[in-house]
Amino acid sequence: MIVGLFMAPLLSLKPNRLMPGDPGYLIDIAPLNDILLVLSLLVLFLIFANLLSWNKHLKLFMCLILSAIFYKIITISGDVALVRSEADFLARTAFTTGFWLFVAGYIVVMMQAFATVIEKKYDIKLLIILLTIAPVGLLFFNGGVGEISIFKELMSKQDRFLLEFKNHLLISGSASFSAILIGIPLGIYSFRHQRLSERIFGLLNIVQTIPSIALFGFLIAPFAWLASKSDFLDSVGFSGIGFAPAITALILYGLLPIVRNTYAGISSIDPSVVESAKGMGMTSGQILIKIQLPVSMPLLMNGIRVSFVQCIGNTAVAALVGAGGFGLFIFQGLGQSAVDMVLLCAIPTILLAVFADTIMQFIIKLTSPKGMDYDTD
Amino acid sequence: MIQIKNLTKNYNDYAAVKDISLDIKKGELCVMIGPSGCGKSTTLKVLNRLETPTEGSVFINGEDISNIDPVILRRGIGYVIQNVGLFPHMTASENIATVPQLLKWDKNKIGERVEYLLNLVGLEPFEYSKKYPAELSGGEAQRVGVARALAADPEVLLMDEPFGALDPITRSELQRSLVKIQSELKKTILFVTHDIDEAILLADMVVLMKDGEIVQSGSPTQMLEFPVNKFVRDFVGTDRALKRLSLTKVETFCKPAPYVSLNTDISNAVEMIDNGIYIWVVDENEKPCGWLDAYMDEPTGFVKDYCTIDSFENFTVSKKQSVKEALNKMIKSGVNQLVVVDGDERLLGEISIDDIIQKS
Repeated sequence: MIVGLFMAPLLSLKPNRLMPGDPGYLIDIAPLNDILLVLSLLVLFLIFANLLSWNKHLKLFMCLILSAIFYKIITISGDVALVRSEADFLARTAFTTGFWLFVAGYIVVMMQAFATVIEKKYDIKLLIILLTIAPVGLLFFNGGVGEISIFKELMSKQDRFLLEFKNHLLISGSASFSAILIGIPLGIYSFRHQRLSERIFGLLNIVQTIPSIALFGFLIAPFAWLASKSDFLDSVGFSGIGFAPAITALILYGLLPIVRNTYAGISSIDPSVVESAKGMGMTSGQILIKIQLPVSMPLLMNGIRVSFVQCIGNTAVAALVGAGGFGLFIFQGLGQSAVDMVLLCAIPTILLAVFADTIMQFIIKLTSPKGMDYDTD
Repeated sequence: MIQIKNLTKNYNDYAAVKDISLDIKKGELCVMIGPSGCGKSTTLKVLNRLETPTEGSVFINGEDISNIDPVILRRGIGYVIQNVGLFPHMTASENIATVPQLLKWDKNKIGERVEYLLNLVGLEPFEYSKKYPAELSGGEAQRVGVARALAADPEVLLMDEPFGALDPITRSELQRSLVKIQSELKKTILFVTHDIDEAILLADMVVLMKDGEIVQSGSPTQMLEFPVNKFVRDFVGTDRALKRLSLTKVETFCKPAPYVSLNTDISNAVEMIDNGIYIWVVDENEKPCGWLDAYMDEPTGFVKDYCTIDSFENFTVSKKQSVKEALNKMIKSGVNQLVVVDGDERLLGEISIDDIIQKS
């Protein structure tokens, strides 16, 4: 983090959107009193970090200090950007190595603080989360920040950004949902037909090993052919490129974790449990719904989590076949070597995946049957 | 109650059960016993249609079970298996309530039933009803298993080596519980085990199987006294005389014995020693507390001044205990006779090793 702040350039000072810029070190670009402020906060932080016993108040205080440093750095950058763009309309000021290093360190420390909070202290956890994102929220009240390159990119494409955000959610959401609808019954089916299960898993494993770009491309030809043969398919917008092949490929990818975990979940149940259920006069449907699914719920939900998170990432690639989503900007940005444009969509994609993962973890905890504590076993 | 007629079960070429017929009367506990692979578990599973017979038929209450929907049939038959198979995501109460819920009983009725059953199997409802299977010991889990099987008050109970996976102490506790429960409920029970002692303890009727056939069936005493062939003799063990004693109660061999109270004058007491060796001494509640030896030098005073008082429970047996237990106590304490007491611990008489040997 310190390396990020002082040894590496914080900002890239570019003459325009695409040209490479000059490195801008924190010491060079910031006014003296701001540098002193950041430095003294850092020293304070380091002193506290080396104290042996952390209690919750001290921990919160340290988060506060870090949060303040983060905020200060963003506003310094904003001021620099404002000054530069007033001087030259085309000038761009972008975050670079130093800034990202700092953010990485920032997130690691905050997560560490979050993870060491005792399970039940929800108020403290909430405060840490608020402190972590507070600097980002405060950005909107600072005029200069809008002049930083990545936000300029956002402003200029705001509508498209929101649209592709929605697209991204729609594609990964519907693909995951379909994967669940197909995957769970398939998992149950493969448990009941052990011989066929080997083939099902063989097939899904092969799909999983195909690189995603190849699979998207692979589907174009058969889908285009299908669309050309059937007026109905054509009329509902089914074609070689776009939504249909993207979602199909994503579903295929998403199946394996769900099918595998459903199968593993049901297989892991002690056979005597199922035998006694049967011996007590439960129908096979009742055994499935009352015994097998609830008992295997944690494993099953974990499969859905893996599938969903993976799907959000893969959706970015789906833009290649014209399905839309954040991938659209990423590949556009790569094509134009506009790093800020790539970051503008890569970061939300990552955040979305992390967010989905966290939500799923929470749901797993909620749906895990009581009396079966996997952690303590 | 249960009639098995010419039952045969083949797995491909292998005949697991060969043409067996068996009648189990209402309220009878029938134990099927035999070495592994003798077909006893298969026979049991035919009864709730977890196995389909190759030939032959089974009647419960006069009705051919192949005409009953297996799901309906099973809800009317309690089923206990060796590995218990409690549902891990349900509490003890929820486990027990399974069949009543399948039968759509009224909620209050289920609640009362669960509480009654927990008490019946010796688990305090307040403490255990909310526990999950993972929180129960093996013995407690199987008690819940038995309660679950009894939940909808079935007439027939099938128990497939229910205590086989338990340690010896827990096993004998559960066996005693089952005896008590059975004396209250009088269910018709088919119980499968490979433990001959368990069979002798529990059974009204023992059915000994080997290679899919019934070798001998009858009461435990019959089996021990008149084994039909070498296989049965070997299976019941070389200690079958002792095993038979485990079926006999102490009261059978109990004979009256003279006794004196602690406060008797010693000279009167000495006169009462009719066998010339000793006399039992009781306290004011007629509870035996020691004995008086015949050989004393000019005794004066009361019995209590001369009486030998040891840890006296080593020398007493209850009339309800088995003769085998009495013998065990004699050997352990190194004596030839024990005092026999009744249910209130009052002296009833004595049992001696000579009588056991001469009369049995």
